[in-house]
Amino acid sequence: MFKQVSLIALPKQDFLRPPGALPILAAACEANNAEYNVYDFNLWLKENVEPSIWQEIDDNWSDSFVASHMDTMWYKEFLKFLNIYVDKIMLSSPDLVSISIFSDYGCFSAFELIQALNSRPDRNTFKIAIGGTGIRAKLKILEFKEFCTFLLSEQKIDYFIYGEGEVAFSNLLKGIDYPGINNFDAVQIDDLDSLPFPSYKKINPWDYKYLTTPELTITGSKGCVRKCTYCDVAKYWPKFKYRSGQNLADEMWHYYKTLNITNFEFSDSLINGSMKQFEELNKAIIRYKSIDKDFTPSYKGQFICRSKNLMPESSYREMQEAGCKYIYVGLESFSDPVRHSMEKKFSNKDFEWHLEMCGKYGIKNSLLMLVGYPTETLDDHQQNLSALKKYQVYAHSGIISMIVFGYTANILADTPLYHQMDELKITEEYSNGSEFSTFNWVSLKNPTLNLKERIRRWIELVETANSLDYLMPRNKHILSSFINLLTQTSTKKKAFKLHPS
Amino acid sequence: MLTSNNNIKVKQSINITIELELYLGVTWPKYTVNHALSCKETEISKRIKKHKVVVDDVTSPLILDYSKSEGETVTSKNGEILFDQKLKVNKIWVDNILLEQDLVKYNMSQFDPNYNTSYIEYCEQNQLTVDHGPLQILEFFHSGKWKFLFQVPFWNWYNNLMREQVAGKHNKSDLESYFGIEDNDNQQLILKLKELLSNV
Repeated sequence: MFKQVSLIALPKQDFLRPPGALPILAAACEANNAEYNVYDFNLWLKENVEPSIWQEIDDNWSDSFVASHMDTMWYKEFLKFLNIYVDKIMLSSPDLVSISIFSDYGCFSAFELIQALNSRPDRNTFKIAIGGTGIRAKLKILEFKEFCTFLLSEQKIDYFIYGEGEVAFSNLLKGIDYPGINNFDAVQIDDLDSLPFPSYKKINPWDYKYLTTPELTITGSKGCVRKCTYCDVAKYWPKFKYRSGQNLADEMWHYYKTLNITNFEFSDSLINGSMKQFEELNKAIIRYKSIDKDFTPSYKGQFICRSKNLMPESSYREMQEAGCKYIYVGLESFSDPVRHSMEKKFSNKDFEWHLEMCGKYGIKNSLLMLVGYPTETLDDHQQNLSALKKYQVYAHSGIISMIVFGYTANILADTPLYHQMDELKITEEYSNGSEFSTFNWVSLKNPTLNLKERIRRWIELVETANSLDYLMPRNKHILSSFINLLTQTSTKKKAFKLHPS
Repeated sequence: MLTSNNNIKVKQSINITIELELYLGVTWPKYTVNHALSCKETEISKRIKKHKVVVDDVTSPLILDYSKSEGETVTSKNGEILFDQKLKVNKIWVDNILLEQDLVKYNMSQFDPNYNTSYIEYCEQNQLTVDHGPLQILEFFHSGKWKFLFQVPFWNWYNNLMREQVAGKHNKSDLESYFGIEDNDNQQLILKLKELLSNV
């Protein structure tokens, strides 16, 4: 049905490597004999806009629909460059323009791109499809309607694809209706091994802003084995599905042979969700390394702490031998009771074992923390502060290479925590606080942990970590956002009163 | 030995484990390590074995003294090296934490070679320059002293080395985004935030 496709990636995304969606959609085009071109507007914009303007654009992605931006220089420049890019996209006369919206932050650029496409005189010659996890963002500017539903009802787009794109997009190309196309009935792909490898025939990883050598995204699994209370991954991938370790190692080997690339970042929620698959993967990589001494892969990915029984020393040794260099660990808290409330299912003892093994095998960690979970007490907070001191040697040695404190606890819709709100007696802290709704909560079971206290704890953790030489990512955005929140709340009335009892 | 710094006990001495790879020439490499407590040997193949040398509670440089005799390099009739004795520093752990190999090689150690007379004569005859070091190498084909140099408190010093190395390789934006090394302009924002919190 579709013969000429434009595949588009949008800001805001990392520049380190090609966006994962593009090569997947490219492979689907190839499998369906559709011609295609690939357009990474995210990268192009970065390379073509004056750096100071780009920085302003980048600083404003999250609230770019605010009317006060319309007259700014950066907004005008953004539109100017977007229109130039739309002309480039349309040069190939596509019959389908497929837009990948990686996250909620992509909605602003997607909205503007779709507006520009719709205002073209040749609009009736092509269809517009969108996909990606950002398509269900509920934006304030659209009165919290879902982005994709709004665009479809307004006839700004022709299709949205909800859920995994690999099979649904193939069917869209063939003109076959399929669950997830213009509805939310997506079905998860059962056999991930049956999918073709993502195609880089028209994507050059060397064009990206890699740190040392080019790297690629690789996907070993979808979904998660955990049901952490604050996380909404299960909304997109209800079941945990994974590829065989051998199939994954084959893909890495394929990129080594065809692109000479050996660095990979897993997109998985957990690289060790299935220990069977993870061990099989490491063993398969080690086998490939023994065949070709020049094959020296390295990989990074999100990782769950497990007990010594489940992750014995041999597993860490194989990780190192297979090239695991860096893992992102959702530790969230150094307090056992808080992690227990979150359903993280690992203990401080397990974490200690994990750090010991990572130290021994030189595997770097980025620790992802969640400050101010509804059940977090002052004692839990003190445990966080004490643990920072206790583990300082791992920060100094680079084994804890980064610690990320995030934005403090948000309550996202469709998460287990959202459904526990009655049980935890969670209520709005401020009246009329819809503009900061995910932050506007307090648990009457732990009422002193209000927004200000969560921010106070965050500051204390950041300052302590800093004084102990832990490295943290850029916190400017978070600090600005907290300042905005406190400024907004200063004019709001409390939604509840605490009684002395 | 412990000293107190900012309410944290800072350890002054360190425990070191060195993994060495020994390659058989005519004989196995001979070496000594000062302060060495123990050595565990593992055979990898007929020509390679590993030693794990443990040194506890040290505060001063470690010196590995490697002695290679004449005639350890075995060649064929046409001069091709068939096998050669070699000693390699494979990995180093301090307090059971693996150190980054590049830092060890380029920033934390040096090798002062002590060439055999026959090698120096060979170089002179063939007009080859003899590099008397110190060399930044971890594989030793000649006798010499390898020094593992460090300062105490070790981990503060190591951390600074690591940061300097990263800072030298990347631009400001990357350092902020991917390595967490950033300017101190957050401080103003934190002060403002604290002021807002205190106004409540």
